Amino acid sequence: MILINKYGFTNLSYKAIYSFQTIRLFIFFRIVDPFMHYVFFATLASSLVGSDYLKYVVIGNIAYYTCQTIMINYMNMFRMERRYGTLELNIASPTPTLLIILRKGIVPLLDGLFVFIVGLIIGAILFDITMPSGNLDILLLLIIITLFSVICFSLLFASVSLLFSNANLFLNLSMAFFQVFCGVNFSVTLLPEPLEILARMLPLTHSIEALRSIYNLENYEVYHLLGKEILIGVCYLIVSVFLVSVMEKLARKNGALLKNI
Amino acid sequence: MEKIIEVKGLSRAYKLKTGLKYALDDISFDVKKGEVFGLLGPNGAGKTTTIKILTTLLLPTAGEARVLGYDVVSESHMIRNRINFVYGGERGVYGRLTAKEYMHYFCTLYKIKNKDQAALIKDLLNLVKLQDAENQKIHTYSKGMIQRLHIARCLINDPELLFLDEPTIGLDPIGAKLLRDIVRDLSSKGITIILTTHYMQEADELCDRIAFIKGGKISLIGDPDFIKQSCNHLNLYEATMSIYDIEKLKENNSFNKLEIEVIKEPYYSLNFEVNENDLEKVSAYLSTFGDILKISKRNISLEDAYIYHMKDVG
Amino acid sequence: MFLLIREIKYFTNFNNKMYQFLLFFQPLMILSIVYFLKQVRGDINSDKFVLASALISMWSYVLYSSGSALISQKWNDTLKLLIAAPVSLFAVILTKALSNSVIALISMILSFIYARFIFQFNIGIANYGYFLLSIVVLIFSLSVVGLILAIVFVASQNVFDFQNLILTPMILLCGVFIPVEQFPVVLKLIAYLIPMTWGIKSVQDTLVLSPFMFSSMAVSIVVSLIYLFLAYFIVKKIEVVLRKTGSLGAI
Ligand SMILES: Nc1ncnc2c1ncn2[C@@H]1O[C@H](COP(=O)(O)OP(=O)(O)O)[C@@H](O)[C@H]1O
Ligand SMILES: [Mg+2]
Repeated sequence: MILINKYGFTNLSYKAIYSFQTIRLFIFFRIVDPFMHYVFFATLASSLVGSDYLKYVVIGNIAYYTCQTIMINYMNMFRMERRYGTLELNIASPTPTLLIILRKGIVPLLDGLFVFIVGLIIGAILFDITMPSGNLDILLLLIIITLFSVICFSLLFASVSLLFSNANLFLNLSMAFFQVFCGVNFSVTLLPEPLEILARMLPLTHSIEALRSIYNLENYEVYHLLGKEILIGVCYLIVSVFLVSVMEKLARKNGALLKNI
Repeated sequence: MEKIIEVKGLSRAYKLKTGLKYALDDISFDVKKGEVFGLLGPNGAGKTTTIKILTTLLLPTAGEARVLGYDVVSESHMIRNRINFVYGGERGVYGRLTAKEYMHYFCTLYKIKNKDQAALIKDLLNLVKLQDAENQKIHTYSKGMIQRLHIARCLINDPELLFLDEPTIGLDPIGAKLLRDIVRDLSSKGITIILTTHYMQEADELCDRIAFIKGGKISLIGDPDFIKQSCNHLNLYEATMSIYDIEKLKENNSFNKLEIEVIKEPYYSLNFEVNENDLEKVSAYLSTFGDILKISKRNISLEDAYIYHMKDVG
Repeated sequence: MFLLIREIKYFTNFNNKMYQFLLFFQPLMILSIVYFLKQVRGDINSDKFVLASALISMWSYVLYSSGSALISQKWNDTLKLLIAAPVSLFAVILTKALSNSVIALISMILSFIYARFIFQFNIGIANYGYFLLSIVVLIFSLSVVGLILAIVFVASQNVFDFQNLILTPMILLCGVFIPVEQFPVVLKLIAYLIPMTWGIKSVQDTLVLSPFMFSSMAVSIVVSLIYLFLAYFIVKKIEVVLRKTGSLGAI
């Protein structure tokens, strides 16, 4: 278990600006809400193509929901900072902005980890999605890699939120985009060629294929996919690091840091 | 004395739909090490903008500013660790945290070693007299307490230079006094302080030098006495007298800025300015309106000077 | 009616990013998924899913907007003014709910446009007259649900936190995908108690010109009316409490 430092940065960030503080909210939004989400898309897909497709869709949505949790809550942390008028206080400290943003990312990352695991458990119990035994180590590896690539991508949003006080539409659009183009509900191979190439540049796409392969719902080379996913994560990380400094400069230039909502 | 802030030809424009708006228009001033420097001016004059530029959170659109010898645009990282700032009002705190947790959070951001944090926080909370409320959640704090917590926060990195933007805004008299005492205390420890406030009494009491700023331009700069002397041509009088026909006095336009306060009919206390510096003559003229009990020339206060210099501001 | 038009013009904040998403982009997302899933199995009746996409977006819009219409007013402190003004609280909430469902129509229309022109789905509306009629019935039932939601949300901030949680269950429960007839008895009962179920059924029935379409519409109207009366009395009660205490917290 991770040793929680009572006055540690992560713990305080969570207490100060994270959305889910009570056990009740946590149960509803980390267990009930994802479950509803899985049921919704499972129903949509299985009423379209039949119930044998159900597992396929639920697995995809377990990964998707993890991604959504991380992205939305990560962004929300910055919205809260603005609401409290504390964003500028953070940025003005001698800790580099990139480091602040990264460290704040730990909270949604842990949240995402929780959601991922709970999702797989829900899948196993309620949708009868059981993993062939002996794959646990690969699954763990996959979870870690997925979280890595998703958080790297979310960094883009975090840096954008330095400049824009309301990036919600942008975020919602991206989530919808992911829902369609990351192979959450159907294989990306069904997409037209150029769109498939695009899909393969997004995080999650390869992870989902790998996850399905681990669960024997698809047959791909898992390590190969995971390698690509890492590569994609690293690319986004590099772009984000660059973007953070650009956004900070821009925000100082037009006074966006100081704009509160 | 060593200059801790040098501002030359600083401007800041905002793009609005209607065109460019100059929040700061070519201002220049210096602040010397160890002084308390007051920026005074009406709302929208550009005080906060100045402070945000000097604290490296906002870039100027023209001109140059150096803080501690470093350029605010290109060397912000050299500045940030040696300064700190407080913006008045209730924002800038995490309501869900306790004061202690809040301080720990910023200690981490200001790279204070874990083992030193507790002792430092204890000292600072003692200094601002919040030691008894340190485990209380901040959303239960009063305005004055939040303001003092901000002061404690801004002392975390032992800054050489502090920016206080309207720190006493909205505080009750006791809270404001407590804060003024803290500011004086900090100044006596050698910290240079840039202060903005709307309370002239406060500025007079605390500041070594003052700049009047209006419409993004500095109109006057100097120590409080110099600023008051700039209004020496004003002849201010205060009088206590009985008046029988108050309307006639009010209609008379040889008095500028006439303020009338009733003590008890027909006794009034008057404050006014006239173009005459001979007390005898003023007294003789005034007695045509009633019987004078007391009349004297009044010293020019900072507030008089402020009102005089800002008179053409909307 | 005048109030309604004014309402749509002045109080709908199209700048609200969430609304933009719900109205304009959510149908696009669902239709895309349907489009690609259709390639898995060709013989799919897409009408049902175009309608489903429209209904999902309409319902989410009604949920979020009705939920927050009064809440945001509460925050703006204008509710007190509303109470003081000669319009009754009920009329205010009702017009809000109505206008929200009328605006939600945008996403229905968009769904059809997207479906027809982007995804090239055929939409077989057999009889436009009946179809429009059923839409009106649907709007009415949506408004009533919006009205109820607004009242619940005003009464309890706690529930407001959970509005996300009823988004999907309602869609499933109201028979957007799976016909209510196929539910287990308990769920069927609950579903039939919701006005929206009937509104949706009316539209679905009308699309295929089912012989039950008029009875569906009739039931929908009756159920909605019952709720409307219920809401009326509750709001009257709220008004009394409001006048007494001057705040909503007491409810
Ligand atoms: N982000 C901004 N966008 C546009 N105008 C701004 C912005 N911030 C400040 N201003 C304008 O700049 C002027 C100076 O503001 P400010 O420095 O806050 O004044 P003060 O602190 O002296 O009251 C004001 O007229 C204000 O309207
Ligand atoms: Mg200001």
